[in-house]
Amino acid sequence: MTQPDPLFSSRFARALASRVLVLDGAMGTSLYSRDLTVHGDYCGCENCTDILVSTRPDVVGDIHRSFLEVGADCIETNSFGANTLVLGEFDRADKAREYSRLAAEIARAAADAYSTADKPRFVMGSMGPGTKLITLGNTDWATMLASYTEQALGLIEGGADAFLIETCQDLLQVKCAVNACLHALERLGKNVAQVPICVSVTIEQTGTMLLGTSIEAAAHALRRYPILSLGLNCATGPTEMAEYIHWLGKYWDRHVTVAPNAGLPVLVEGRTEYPLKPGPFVEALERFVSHSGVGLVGGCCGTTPEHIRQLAQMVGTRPPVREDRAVMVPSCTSLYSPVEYRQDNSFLIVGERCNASGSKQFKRLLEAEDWDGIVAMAKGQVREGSHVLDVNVDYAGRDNARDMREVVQRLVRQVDAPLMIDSTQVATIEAGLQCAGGKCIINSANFEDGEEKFDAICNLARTYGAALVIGTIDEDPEAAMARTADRKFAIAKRSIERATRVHGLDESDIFIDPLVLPISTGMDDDRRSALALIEGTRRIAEAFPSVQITCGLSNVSFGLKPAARQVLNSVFLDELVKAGLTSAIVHASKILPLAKINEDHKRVALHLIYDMRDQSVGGTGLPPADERPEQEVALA
Amino acid sequence: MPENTAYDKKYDPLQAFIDLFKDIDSVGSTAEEKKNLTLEERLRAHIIDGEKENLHACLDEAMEKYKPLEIVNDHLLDGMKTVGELFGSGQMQLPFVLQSAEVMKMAVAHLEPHMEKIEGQGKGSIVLATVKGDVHDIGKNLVDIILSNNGYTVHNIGIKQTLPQILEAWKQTKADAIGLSGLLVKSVTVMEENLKELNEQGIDVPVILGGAALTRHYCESHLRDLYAGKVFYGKDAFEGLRTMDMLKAGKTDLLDSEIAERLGKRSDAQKVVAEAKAKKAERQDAFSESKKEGGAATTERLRSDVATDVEVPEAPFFGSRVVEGLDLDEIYPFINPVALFRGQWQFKKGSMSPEQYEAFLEDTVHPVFERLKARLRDENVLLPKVVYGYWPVQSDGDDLIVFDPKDPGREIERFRFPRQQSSKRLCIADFFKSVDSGQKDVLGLTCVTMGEEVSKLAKSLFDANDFTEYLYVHGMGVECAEALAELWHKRVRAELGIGGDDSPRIAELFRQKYRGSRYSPGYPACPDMSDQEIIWRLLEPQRIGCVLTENWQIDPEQSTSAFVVHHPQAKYFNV
Repeated sequence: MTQPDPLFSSRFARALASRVLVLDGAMGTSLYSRDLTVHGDYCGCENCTDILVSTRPDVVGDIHRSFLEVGADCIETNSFGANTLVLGEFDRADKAREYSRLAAEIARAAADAYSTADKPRFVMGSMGPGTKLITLGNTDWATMLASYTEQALGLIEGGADAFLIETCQDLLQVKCAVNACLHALERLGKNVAQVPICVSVTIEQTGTMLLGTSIEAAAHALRRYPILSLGLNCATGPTEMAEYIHWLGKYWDRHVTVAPNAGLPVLVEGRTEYPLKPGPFVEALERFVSHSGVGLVGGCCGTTPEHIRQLAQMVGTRPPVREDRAVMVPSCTSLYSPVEYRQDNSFLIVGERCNASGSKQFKRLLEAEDWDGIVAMAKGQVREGSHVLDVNVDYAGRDNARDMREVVQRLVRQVDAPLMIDSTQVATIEAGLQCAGGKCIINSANFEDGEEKFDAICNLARTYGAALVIGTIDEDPEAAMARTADRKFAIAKRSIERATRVHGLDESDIFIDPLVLPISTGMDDDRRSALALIEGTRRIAEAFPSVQITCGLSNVSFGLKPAARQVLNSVFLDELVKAGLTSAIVHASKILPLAKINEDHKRVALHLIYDMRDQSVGGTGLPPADERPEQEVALA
Repeated sequence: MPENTAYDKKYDPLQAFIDLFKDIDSVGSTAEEKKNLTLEERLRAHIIDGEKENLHACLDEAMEKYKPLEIVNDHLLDGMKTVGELFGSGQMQLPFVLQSAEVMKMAVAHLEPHMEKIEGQGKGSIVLATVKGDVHDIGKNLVDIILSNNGYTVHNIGIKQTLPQILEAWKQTKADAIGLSGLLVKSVTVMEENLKELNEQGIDVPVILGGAALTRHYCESHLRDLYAGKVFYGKDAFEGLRTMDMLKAGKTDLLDSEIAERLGKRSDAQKVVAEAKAKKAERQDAFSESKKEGGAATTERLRSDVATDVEVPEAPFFGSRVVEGLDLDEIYPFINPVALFRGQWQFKKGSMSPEQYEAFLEDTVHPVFERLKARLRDENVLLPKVVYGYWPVQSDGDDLIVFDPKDPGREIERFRFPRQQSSKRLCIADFFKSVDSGQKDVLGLTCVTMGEEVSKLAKSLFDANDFTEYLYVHGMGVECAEALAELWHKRVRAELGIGGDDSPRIAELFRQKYRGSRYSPGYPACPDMSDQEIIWRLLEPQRIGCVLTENWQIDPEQSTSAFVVHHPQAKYFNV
């Protein structure tokens, strides 16, 4: 387990570690089957089941007891939509905290009445997806964060043992809800050691979450959050979930949960029916428990107390068994799918062109606010082979945060590539991260303005579950950018230590940028900067093997003719990759394979990179003897 | 680092590197200098590029130099001709052709007030119709667009037109030709009947026939022989245009000789094929004879070797159910992009490399797809509905007997499926438990529709000359119906408990990566369209607004029905 111990120290987490727990069945469909009046019980708010905790606590309590009676270890509070966004639609936005608290209190009382020393019962605070998704532009991060925070506060106050962020449709929604839980805990002086956070996403019949996110992408995007479990619920029955549950069982490093519907819903003559009977339902879940290591099993839509009774009988007191274990390979993700940081026989190609200070075309599109043109440019880069896209809208005189939102929210949906959110301003980076459901890479943090800004950007990485590029620049007013291998290594070491030890970031999520400086100026100071970078890269890679190393490659050839730049960049990149570089920010189609470079061009490029004005033997980083100039006289 | 070595002065790699590239220019840049086009070239370019911007200014400028009609005939139509050639050679995609047509129509509309008198100066006229019982009209409408834009007066009288209706229009308009279109195999027969009826009535107006079901050979040999007037085959709108041009120029003899030449070439090849066929037929005759003579034992021997021991899944219910209120976002992922982009929207690959085509789809087609999905959703144009159900069945030779679910001994319907005469001797009936097995099997039936609103929208777009959007909307409607059929087939498999073999990738579902098969009446394994009547009696799809035309097509068009077969060996086959 990569997570710190507090995550696993709550009463609920300890129970979960010891045996498989049984969650209850459907609340919504159970309520709909009761005879409740719209005007009386629902206060005129038809379908707003969250109101029932104040009008009909007896009915809600009955349903809880019906599941506790048949052996459920955990019951979910009737608070699926008790947040300000959903209740706002019924003019009850101000009731979110109160309804959530009442929901938790009703469940608490029911659970406590059934708890014994051998079989404690737990209350899971249900937090549904609501009706508005950030990625679709229905709402924004700040609004949703406030909405969920009210709900989380109420659930804690009412005595919930854990949060269950469930039926998740949108990764941004999950990230936002997790942050809301953390905020609420902090405000009430608690932490995840007392009330842990469980997340359950919904994989539709299409094999992805509603917006197209694969289970792999979801797991990578949520991996760095302090959540106790990840699982699936709703949309389909257990059979359809099998593939994804097995994947989670194999790769997810914490608990796995599942709560399927009673089969695929069938709309019959205007009514929804769930066809799967308790027998086959439990049979399918048995495999999840005994093979895929699922530790919390329950039911979603259409599951009755009878389903849960048979489920509890099947589970008994057995522990979960995982037959197949493997480790998730460190990756970033788009909204849709993951991309590994380390590419076999290649490097992680970060497309550089969506950059207002690096591309005239992009700058013009930004000035014209031609968002579709920007999307087309981004797609072009993916076609040329970019794995990740850098996005930099820094442009003096424009509202950069707004531009970042406009660009990122389009790219996220229309381009299947993870984004590198690139800015010198914290607010601009955050604006981008608030629109990107996948796991992004932030570019970048450094010590140029001191630790305060460095820390602020590390906080963004933690809040939004992002990876982070760190440039080797420090506060030194004279040297600032690290030119020598020594300084590159020293600053890299300091940054990695601070980011991991102080901020809890994972080493594999850190990309060190040891800074490329031009060797094309002819000035003596610059002649050895390529060499310094190669040496610095080598030392960082050796000392921190799981850290990523990247750079903005094309700066090395600044000022040369385009054709010359292509050759020099390509040859230099090859040297850097040999030294341990894992990634580069480039114009992918302008990188030439070495085989296609003229031998003379290649050789002179190497002389330039290794500063071979001087033929003395023994200087660090010199190429092997046979690569040294043989025709230097002729060339001169 | 030692200083002042000899190389410092002699060899500077930076300088050497710069020198190496002195005469080498950037590899990637293909600087395209925009030419200064002449007025005439610009007129053509507007049409070829489908470029509306500055069109009016360009036309106004042209009117200072030419008469409006000259602009149309000499320059704009010249552009359309190039468009036709590009389309014919696969270098231009249909939606771009339609964009060109839209620009053409805009141009004519702009020039029209300045023309002395355009009526009567048209190049000729034609009555266009889709034949009786057939609702497919996209090809016919393309012919309308292309002919109209090339100066012809087109009387497009719509779909499901009987011969009296067609003749009525022809008599009123005194058109130079009649164009008949149809997609269904059955429509070829209707065309044939129509031609015979024209003979009866002593009418010999030139007729141009087209549509997916008709082959050039059948038209040019058989149909041409039985009609007293001239019959021509129109492969596409541009061949129709050429035929009209020839007709008006009195050059039908040229067309006739082209046809004669084609038939001549064909007859040589035919001799070789005919001999081979004759031998095969002999063998088959012997085979059929033995089948007629043989009793039950022979029938058994002639059955395919499809497994008979497949466990019969349990039907979740018997009889039929209506499903409404489906979410389009559930259906959209099941749209087959190849069928939509290539088949319906006609974005052919042409001479593009796979990478270029991929890029083209991504940049040009996908945005359209996304927009259409949103539009049809937001405007409530697509109204998906399903009726489906399960029945106890048994096979009896080539027949499939459907039993009354409430009284399982009672036969209520009987389908008869054709059997392959060679190959594996497959027949749909073989996929079900036989009467001899003593066991009942289960048949699924589905009928899905996207409702008639989408047809209405398509028509209004067509009437408003928005041809490109018309093509997009029409294609989306058809493919959404297919997508819903695919989705519901998946649902049926899930309900039968055989969904475990489903590929997790939707794209593979289009290649039958699942257990069993779905056969629609009219498809190769069950070509008899009259099976639809039986399906209608069982499913009662009129409850979701689906009725049968006299050719057993479903109205509205964006609908499809199917047999769902659970047997693992059931896949598509040809009879």
